[in-house]
Amino acid sequence: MKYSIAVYGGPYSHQATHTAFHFAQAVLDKGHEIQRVFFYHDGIYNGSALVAPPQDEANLPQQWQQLAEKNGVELVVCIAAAVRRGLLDENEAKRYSKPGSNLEQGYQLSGLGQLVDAGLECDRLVSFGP
Amino acid sequence: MILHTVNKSVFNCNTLNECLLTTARNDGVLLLEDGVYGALETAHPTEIHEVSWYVLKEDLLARGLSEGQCREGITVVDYAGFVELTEQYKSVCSWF
Repeated sequence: MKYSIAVYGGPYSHQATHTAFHFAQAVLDKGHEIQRVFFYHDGIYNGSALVAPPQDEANLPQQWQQLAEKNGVELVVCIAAAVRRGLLDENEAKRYSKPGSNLEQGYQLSGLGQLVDAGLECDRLVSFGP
Repeated sequence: MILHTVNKSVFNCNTLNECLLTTARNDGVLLLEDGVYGALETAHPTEIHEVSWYVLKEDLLARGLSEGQCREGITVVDYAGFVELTEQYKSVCSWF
């Protein structure tokens, strides 16, 4: 089956990201495909390259990145939710004349249409909220 | 055939009861995160329709709760079981 996952809760403030990540691993372990993980609302903080948790704690942005790279999963961050929270890629940093960009490699900023598309194209869309 | 997931405790949020207002027969309710408190013998959610009840084992154990403290008729599942439920039900509706 083809799955997509939507994450609405921010890492380190709600359990949503942990639950979503464990669910994603279990989905892949069962031999299913994950097309896309869509980060929305505070979930966009998963895409920050500046996240620096203590060494004995999980680095969720990095864990998503590794999971995505290994399994061909798209990591899509809602552009509107990201930009207003100060998560920018190079293009947006230029557009808003900001001193730097901080979107982690392997993530892409895109529109809400990608979430709608995931709902239409995938067999299952599972959301994890704060 | 919808699987509803609820991640809020029945003791401080109305999320589970709101969810149960919309459920139909043949739906399932999976309690996860703080929602697992709704599986306790001492929790009495309003039950309008007959639904199948599930609770996520990892979140029970993380809160120091055991399977033995859960109401009768609740199935304890792990993450693999969670995935199986999403295969079995036609769609997933998350309440948070």
